[in-house]
Amino acid sequence: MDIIVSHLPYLGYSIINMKDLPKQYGIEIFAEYGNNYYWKYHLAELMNGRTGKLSVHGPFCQINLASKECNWNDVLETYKLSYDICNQYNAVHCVCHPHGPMPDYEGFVLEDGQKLALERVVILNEIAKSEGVELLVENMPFPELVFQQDDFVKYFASVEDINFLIDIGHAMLHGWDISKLLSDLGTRIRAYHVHENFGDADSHLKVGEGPLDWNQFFLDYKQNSPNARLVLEYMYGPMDSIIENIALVESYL
Amino acid sequence: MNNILVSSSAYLAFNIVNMVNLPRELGIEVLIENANDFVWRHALKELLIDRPSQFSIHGPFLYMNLASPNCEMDQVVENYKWTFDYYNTYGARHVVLHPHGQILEPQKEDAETRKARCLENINTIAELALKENVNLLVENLPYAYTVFGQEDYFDLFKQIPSVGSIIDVGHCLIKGWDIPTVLEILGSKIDAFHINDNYGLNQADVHMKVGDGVFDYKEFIKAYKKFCPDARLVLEYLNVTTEEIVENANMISNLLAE
Repeated sequence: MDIIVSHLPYLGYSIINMKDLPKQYGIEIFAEYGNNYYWKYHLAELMNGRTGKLSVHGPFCQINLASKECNWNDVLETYKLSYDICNQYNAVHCVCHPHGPMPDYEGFVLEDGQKLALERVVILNEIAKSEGVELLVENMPFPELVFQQDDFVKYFASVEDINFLIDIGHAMLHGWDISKLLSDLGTRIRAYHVHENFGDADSHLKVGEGPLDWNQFFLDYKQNSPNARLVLEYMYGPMDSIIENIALVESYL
Repeated sequence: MNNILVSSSAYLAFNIVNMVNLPRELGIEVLIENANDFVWRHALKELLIDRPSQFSIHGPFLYMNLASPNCEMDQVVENYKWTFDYYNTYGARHVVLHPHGQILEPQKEDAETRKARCLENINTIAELALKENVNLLVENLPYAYTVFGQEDYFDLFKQIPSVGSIIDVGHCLIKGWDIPTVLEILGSKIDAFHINDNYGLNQADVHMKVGDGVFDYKEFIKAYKKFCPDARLVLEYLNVTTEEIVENANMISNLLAE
């Protein structure tokens, strides 16, 4: 099982501080927030001598796969850039947001949006497979979800080779039954975004800073998806506190 | 507020979508290396539409030390070609260049050798800028060791006359430069400012908003009006809200109007 730290607390210029993360832990980057030069030199430094894995958070800025107003050709182009980064730097997965906020254009029908999102995720997954990239579909945090828990499982699990990244904080925000979700999806959950909140905002708190019963989570984790990667997607550092928190996560394992 | 711009420093990564909430009379400066083409194409479409105010670009600078013997200039040139394409596509007013990066062990090399290399590399980018009709501005830096102290910085514009100056007032405070004197000597060579505040000499480069640190902004405005009244003022702040930026921009605008 790999422990990976998201670069969420280190966006922009502070990414250089991620070099202080001990080398046995991996790094997940938001690939769209840097140009080619930026990633070439940052990753050379960040991954130098690191035994922890690199993973990529795929693009999501201005993308809503459930909306017909979303420019699909642009989406394909920007995903291609992320897949290229995955291959260039041997990333273990690429995270996919299956939708954005609930579309509000006239005539939008939820079921149509769900079908459109699924259709597009399937295509992105096919391209990913052809390029040797593991695409993982994430559950979303928006106030109104295109896929509530039952639909998320029903639609995406029905496609045999779609795999998942379950975001624990997002599941909490919508009161999803996390034990059931892990049981339903099992080893198709290839990774988690690990963080929590108080149900009022997607605050990306560290393990133990919120109300989640992490004993129960890790029990379910060990039972259903014991090899899934744990990506600690925290909003804030500093690095010392993240390292301290990794020790806490390891103690649950 | 025609000459006041706001840097994307307060809107890094996915926060860029919130920059659209800035009033249209404020211009925009983007830190271009912090996103890929897809993000910029979509973000700039929203940011620049119906914005009659100005647009400028902060050129890349991370892992790009023009003073270093290991600087891969062919890669740097490619990165600046990419940047200059944005300048021309979106009608930007300037591109900011950092003349060098951090130098942690300056004693390892003769200062004149380092400066000559740095000037040569700046000149390479300046020549590319000339070819592409780009207004390239060289910034003063805050590092503990800088290749260009105040006098050397003035001299840089004699060595490479095609480039202009962007003065970061926060960096001046950290390095103990006398701001009114800098404005008097460089005058209209200064085409823009990075406006931000901090705790002064040898302190951290924290990019606070004007009024939160030791910056004597009233003295600055006086010198600005006298020596370089057409220069753009780019508010380059960290960790501030849109409301705080707008309030600060209004305060500066009022001082300019006095």
